[in-house]
Amino acid sequence: MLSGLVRAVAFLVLVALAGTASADSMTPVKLEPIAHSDAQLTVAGRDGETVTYSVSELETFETYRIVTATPWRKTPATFEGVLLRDVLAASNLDQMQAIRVTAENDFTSDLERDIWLSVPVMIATRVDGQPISRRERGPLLFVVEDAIYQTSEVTEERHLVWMAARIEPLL
Amino acid sequence: MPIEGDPQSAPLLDRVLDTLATRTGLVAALAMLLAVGAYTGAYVERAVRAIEHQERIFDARQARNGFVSISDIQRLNLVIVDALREGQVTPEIAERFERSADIVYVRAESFRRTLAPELWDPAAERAIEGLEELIEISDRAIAQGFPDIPALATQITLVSDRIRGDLAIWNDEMRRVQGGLLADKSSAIRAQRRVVWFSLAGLTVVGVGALLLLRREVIGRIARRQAEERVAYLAYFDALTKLPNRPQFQERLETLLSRGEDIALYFVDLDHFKGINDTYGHAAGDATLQHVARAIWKQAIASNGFAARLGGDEFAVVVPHANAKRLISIGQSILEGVHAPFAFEGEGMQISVSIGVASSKTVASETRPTLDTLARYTDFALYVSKEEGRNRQTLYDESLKARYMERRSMLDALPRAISDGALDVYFQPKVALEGRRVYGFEALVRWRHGGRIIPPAEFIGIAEESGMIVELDVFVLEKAARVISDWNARFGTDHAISVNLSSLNFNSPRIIGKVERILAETGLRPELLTLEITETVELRDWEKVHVILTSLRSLGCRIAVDDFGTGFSSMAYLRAIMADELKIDRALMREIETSDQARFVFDTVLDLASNLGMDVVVEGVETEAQAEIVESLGARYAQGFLFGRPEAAQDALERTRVPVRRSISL
Repeated sequence: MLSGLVRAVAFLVLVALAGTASADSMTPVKLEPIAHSDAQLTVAGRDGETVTYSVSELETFETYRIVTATPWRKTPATFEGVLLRDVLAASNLDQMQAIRVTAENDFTSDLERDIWLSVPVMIATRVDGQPISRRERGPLLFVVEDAIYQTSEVTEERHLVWMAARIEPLL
Repeated sequence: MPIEGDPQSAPLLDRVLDTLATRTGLVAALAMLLAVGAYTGAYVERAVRAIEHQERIFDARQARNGFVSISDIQRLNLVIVDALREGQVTPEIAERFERSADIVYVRAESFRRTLAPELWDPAAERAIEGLEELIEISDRAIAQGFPDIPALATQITLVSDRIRGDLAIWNDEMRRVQGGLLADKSSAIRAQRRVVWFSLAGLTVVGVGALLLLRREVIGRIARRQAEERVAYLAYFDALTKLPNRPQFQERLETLLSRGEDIALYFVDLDHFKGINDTYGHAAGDATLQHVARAIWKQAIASNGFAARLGGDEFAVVVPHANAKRLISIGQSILEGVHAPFAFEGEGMQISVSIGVASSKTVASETRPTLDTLARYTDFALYVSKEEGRNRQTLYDESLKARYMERRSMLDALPRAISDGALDVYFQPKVALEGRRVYGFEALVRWRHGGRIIPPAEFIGIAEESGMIVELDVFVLEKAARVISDWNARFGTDHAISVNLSSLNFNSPRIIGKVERILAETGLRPELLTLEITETVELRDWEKVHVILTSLRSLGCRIAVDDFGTGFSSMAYLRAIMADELKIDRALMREIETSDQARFVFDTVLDLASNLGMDVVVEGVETEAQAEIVESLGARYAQGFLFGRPEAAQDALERTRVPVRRSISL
């Protein structure tokens, strides 16, 4: 019961932080439609229902822009995409304890709720205005602003999932 | 805390603990603890840093890279296998092929990026190069549109096998590093555990030391405080009786007097206390004092006052009352309380006290009541109690005033009496019963003071208290000797003279020289001089007295025991005194006519004296009948009003020139 209480308090603190964090470096943008690859993101809900988004369909969520470097890119680039949290919310997954993200090469990464609530995690669909190639770790790449990524205690490299293909709840 | 089996170590342990329980010991222990703690702490810190360093280098990712790369290669191989089976590269296969190649590309890039320089391994390097070669081959095939599928398959297979071999080596290496890391972590934990235990032990030692030190400090502090309290207590309390002592008594009394309150002061003196100490010992004396203190304290408290021991066998009581009846009642309770028997070592003991009381109110009517004045009045009341027989109380009141004043004036005047010429020597004749012939006189001193003639009974006490009795006795002796000697020389008579000497004279041999000088100066024949000592005298040192008396007798003088029959005498006493003469006290005379017993006692004394070779002089013969009785019992010499009252020396001598008749009418 105590740990539950601690988690609740931590959650509230993180929500407060998230409130301040989300608007800071990510700027909302309106994206012009471009030709995307045929990548898909499947999101499985709690009840087993799945919804599949094409990249263009993903971009119907609120879109943002962020300029950052990544562990694989020394020079900052402009990433555009949607918030992971929004996508999760659409499937009622944003309050889940954890989710499992699977990449196209069957790589899996488990993300705890703290991560997408306390840190703005973007599912990037474009880099420098273009679709992200696979060799650039696209088409769907999880991006966190470098400054936040370096200082945050919760983010690790495995959270920056590349070739993201599937999201499902971790029960 | 003895250690078993080694009795030598017990004192050692004590020594260690004692050393520890000092400030230096504690500081030393603390310093040692800190030093060793710092060293081991640094050691553990180093070990942990090394592990952290290793962990930074060895990332789980790197180990994973090895395994995941294999599955990525496998994916590529599977695509090629499918292509072989189909015999051609369909668009679907082409897309899968490209995707797989992309994955390998990303993998190779990741691998190379994450491979830490410290962990560089030739196997890993070869594996990465193999991956890069695979990518090259794939890219070329894609660009050329897959011209030769079998050849491509063979190439890919060969390179893949090579990579797998290198990766196997690499994975082993990773496992080894992981194992080593685990071992390092375990030993670091064990080292930390040692540090924790050591720190606990060290802290316990320091803690024990601190507690011992604290305990020692506390004990020392308590002991000091107790000693201070004891000193403070002793400063104000008598150790034996636990009563307030003289300083406290004085302070409290002065405070009460300065507040102008009505108070009364009692002086309580033990009767014959010296006798108890001499007879029963000092322990008995102490027990007596404690008994008296208890009795007095009880009464004092019951009357809302307090009691004090002023010293020796003197006590005081102060009560906040001035009513005469009340004061008498309190005094009576004190007398009764003290007089109650008490036990000492199984023996029943009893003591009485003499009490003097004075109230500030009474004193105030005559003078300002201060500690001094109040004490003086109380002291006088006590004196009266003693004078009148002890074991009683006397309250100072108006009726005593005259006596008090007189005594004060006597106290003031007596020291000057001799130089003022206020002392007269009176003679009372001593006769031989046969023929009623006067053969000598007893010299008696009188003091002209305050308009009357004061007999010695009233001022001898003062003289003894002030120590001037010696001077007084010598004055009388000299005067008497001179008068008698001159008379004898003028008229050719052989009159003898008896002079009283106080026992204080026998404390020092100086008296011998004085007597000798007087005999020489006056020319009086020594055998005509009789020195009278009172029977009831308390002689302190019989040895010394014996020596002095022997010397005096060797001068030729006679020694007489005065007031015989009224007090304490033993054969030993008489022999020590070596009396030549026994003077029977007048008390025996009073009953001689009426009491057979008195006559019997008288007879016995005559026998005793005759057996001891002593002359007997009967004192206090006042009637002819008495004279006849004592003569018939065998007495030869007598003194008393019948034969002459004391009168001025010259007058008494003159009277002898007139023939003595059987009775003298006055």
